[in-house]
Amino acid sequence: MTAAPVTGVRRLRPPSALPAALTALAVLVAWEVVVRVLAIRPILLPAPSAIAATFVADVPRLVRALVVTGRAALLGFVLGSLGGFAVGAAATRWRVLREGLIPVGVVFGAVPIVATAPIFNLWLGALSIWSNVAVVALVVFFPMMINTITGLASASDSHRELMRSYAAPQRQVFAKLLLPASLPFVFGALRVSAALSVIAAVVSDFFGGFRDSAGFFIKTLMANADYTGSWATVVALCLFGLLLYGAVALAERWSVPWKEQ
Amino acid sequence: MTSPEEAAVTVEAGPPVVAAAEPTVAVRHVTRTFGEVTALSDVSLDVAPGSFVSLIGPSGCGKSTLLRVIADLLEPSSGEVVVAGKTPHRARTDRDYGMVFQKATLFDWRTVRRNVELPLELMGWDRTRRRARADEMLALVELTDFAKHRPAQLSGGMQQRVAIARALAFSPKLLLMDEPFGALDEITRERLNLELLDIWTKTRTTVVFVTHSIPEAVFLSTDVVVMSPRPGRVLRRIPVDLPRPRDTGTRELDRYFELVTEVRETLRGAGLL
Repeated sequence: MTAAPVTGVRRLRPPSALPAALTALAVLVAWEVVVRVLAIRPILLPAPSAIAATFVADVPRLVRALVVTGRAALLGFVLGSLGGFAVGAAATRWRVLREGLIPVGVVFGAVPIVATAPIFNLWLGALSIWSNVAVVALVVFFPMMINTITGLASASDSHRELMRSYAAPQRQVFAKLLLPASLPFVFGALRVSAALSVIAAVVSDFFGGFRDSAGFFIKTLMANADYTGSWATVVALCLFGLLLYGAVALAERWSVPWKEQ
Repeated sequence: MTSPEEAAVTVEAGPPVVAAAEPTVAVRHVTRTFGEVTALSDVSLDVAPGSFVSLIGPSGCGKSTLLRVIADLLEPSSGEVVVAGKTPHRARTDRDYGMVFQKATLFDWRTVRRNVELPLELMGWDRTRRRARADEMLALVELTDFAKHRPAQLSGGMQQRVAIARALAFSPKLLLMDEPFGALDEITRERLNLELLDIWTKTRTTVVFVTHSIPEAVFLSTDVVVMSPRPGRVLRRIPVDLPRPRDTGTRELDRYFELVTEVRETLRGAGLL
């Protein structure tokens, strides 16, 4: 037996929470001080303390806003990711599909899909959640499709040759080799999509007339000179986005334990 | 499932009449071209049951191509190959051989034990049998303590031992090895040579072993097949009559040096050294 380098690399998680928390605190303090010392008007920039006070007072409204917008973001995130994965997997299986889809995917990836929100409102009804869901799903779809195709192609030639030496049928090659090898790529897309889906949902709110949505609140509160209320809504969205990202990161740690973060 | 010992008995006891004489691998006048390049030119080779045959030669001599033709990972352009009395394709689908590559080709997402279980899983063994067999194989390559580790946590030599355990897990008649220790340091390589001989003695598996190391080929083999490039062909087959069991002392025998020199002279005679 060797005195082999059995390194417990995975256990070496850097204590990253503390520096990040300190940085955030420093920014907030600086923000508060600048706003007070320079007497900046709330229309330009409210103080963090004021935003926090409004946030606490407005919790019921913010929760309603997140239920409406968050539901659209989450539904679109799930449906768009599933669709992107399914089409990506199909494209891996059938070469014709792949050759047609990759260029189309790249082009569509460059389209500012949030700009299509008014069109979806027209198609699916401005007061339907499905127009918001559709925008989110479309935003999320292409990164997932491209990453799925890349991920399913990422297994090395020697690994494929190994499976061939076992005379493994296509189904087993997919389940035991291609799929696990693709997971880091799939999660890469999910992490990007978590942030994108919240952005897309809010932008879609702006165009829609959906009452009680986060985008609606940001718009109308600004118009009513309730600036801190508008900011508090942004903070709530930010927290929701972090929650979604955190959930994805957690799922990734659980299902891709062999990759270090 | 048969244990390695039982499997060995089966091979020897086998179908009574012709089996004993029939080679495990028979290559007859095989030529393989890749476009303009002739990788193998009229190669013939017999590998007797239970033997350990090394293919040696410089890069481009077609030794890896020959191994892949035997494994049905490549088709010959012409000529015939018989593996375990069947076509290579039939032998592959019957899982008659296990293969070890230069890279360990372990699955990062599986533990060491689950890597060894992979072929058994593909063959539909149930969990309990799989696990028992994998543990048996890990004991054979002395990695029992590392069953729950991930491949990335092991050294290159240990990873290659896992690959050997995986290749032998289903007791194949034939073990095909493509420069398995080529990427390892000299000391690890010598130790793995010893371990491989030990495993070969215990399992009595027939081995075809591709290498570019003359000392390794002589130390391990029952026969060394010297090949030359452009086009790839067999120069000479040298039987290795060193006593067994072989150990570190074997490398100090006069006969060992004579055989190493003989292989070297064969290569030099062909203008390859």
